[in-house]
Amino acid sequence: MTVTSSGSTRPLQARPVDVDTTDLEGIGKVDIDDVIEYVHDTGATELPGYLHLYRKYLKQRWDVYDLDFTQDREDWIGIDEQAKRSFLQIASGFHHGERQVEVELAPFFFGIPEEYKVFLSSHLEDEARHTIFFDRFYREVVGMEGETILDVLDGSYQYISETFVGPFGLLSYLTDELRRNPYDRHRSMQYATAYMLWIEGVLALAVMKITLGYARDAKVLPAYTTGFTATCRDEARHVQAGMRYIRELLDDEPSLVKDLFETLRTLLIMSSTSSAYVMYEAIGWTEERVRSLLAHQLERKLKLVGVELPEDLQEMVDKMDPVLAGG
Amino acid sequence: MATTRFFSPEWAEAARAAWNAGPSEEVKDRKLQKYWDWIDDARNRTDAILGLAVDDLPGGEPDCLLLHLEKGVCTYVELVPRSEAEARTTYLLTGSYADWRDLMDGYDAGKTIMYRKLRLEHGELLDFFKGAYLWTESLACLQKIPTELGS
Repeated sequence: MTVTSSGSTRPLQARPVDVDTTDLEGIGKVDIDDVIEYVHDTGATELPGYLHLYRKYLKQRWDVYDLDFTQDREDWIGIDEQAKRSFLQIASGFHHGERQVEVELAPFFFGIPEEYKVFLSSHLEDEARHTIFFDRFYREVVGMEGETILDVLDGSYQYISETFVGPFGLLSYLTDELRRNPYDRHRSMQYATAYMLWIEGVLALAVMKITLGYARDAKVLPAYTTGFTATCRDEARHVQAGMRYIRELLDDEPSLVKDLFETLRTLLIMSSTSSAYVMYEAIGWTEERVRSLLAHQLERKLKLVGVELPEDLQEMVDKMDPVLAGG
Repeated sequence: MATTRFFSPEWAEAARAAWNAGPSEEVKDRKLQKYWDWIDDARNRTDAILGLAVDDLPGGEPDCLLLHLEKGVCTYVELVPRSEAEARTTYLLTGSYADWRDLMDGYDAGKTIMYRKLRLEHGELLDFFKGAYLWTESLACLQKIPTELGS
């Protein structure tokens, strides 16, 4: 066995597939732990540039309609009801999360550097593709029906907890603030902290690890595994670009760290409770391991932007009870 | 059960009562106790004036309900013109009449926030979200008011 820095164990094996260059077929064979490592492997002391990430996007882009969910549908029928429910409680946060991060991105374009605008156009296209990926999964595997994307989202809404509205409602309202004041750097920092650092960098990577780990260990849902692992690789680019932007803002105006901390404080207050119990054990996890995973993801993102948490925020991290969602 | 016209003085008073009554036992039982404890903590921290405004209320002004909250308890309500609200409120939520009607008809309060059917037109955004679930659950309580709505 090998122990990853995120604390999980998995069978010792060679790494036959390069996360950076593999195609859609190959990405399905990559272990999720390797993709999570890839997020933080910036290849140098500095985070990669926006155009470097844009070039990566052009090579790593995949076609969501190439996935065949036939085997996943057969697997889904055989999964026991408790595991199905736990899986849906976690995956539905992503189903809705992807839609939210797609539709809430546009006002961010105005106030960011020119090269980031180029990259962000690819980021937006990724999120649209991820929205379609989950729409297909819920229709073709879970069996939800609907004429529109929103119909299917309404179908899975029953599985997400009330606390989902915390981070995603905040994102929605920050988007509206940015729409009104797109060049406000305080709002831009708050937005990037909520979106790229917390939702994508902490929550999303945790959900990916948990559901993909379940699919890997139970040897089920191959198309979900492929599409969601490819999604995770896409998120790596988004997170790296977002962390670069936060670092640039801080380098330029160090006092903006107050906005980063106040946004995190808000997110951590909202993350100190939950409204529904998730039976993590049914898919091989425990609440304590999930909390530890999220805390570790946060620590790694803060390291990328060169920020240390004040003591009071660190205490809040230790007590968080976060909603599992992402985008 | 008698209904009251949306944004009438009687409806405003019913809103105060519904806000203070909180969720039903049935609703409470569906969610974890620690969630309600969080809301109680948020309520105890909340001294504010919350404005709820309708962009296109049939009949026009007064089109904004002010809820005066002391430790989260609504002590007083008043109906005022929207033009007065910004200067007087801690937080001002506004929405179209159609979206308010959907909410009063039972549309999910969480989605109402997440899909930005109500917008925060005034107030410190991060502070508002430090009480996020207090606001969503309290908006849901307003759905209990038997309300007369137009088309």
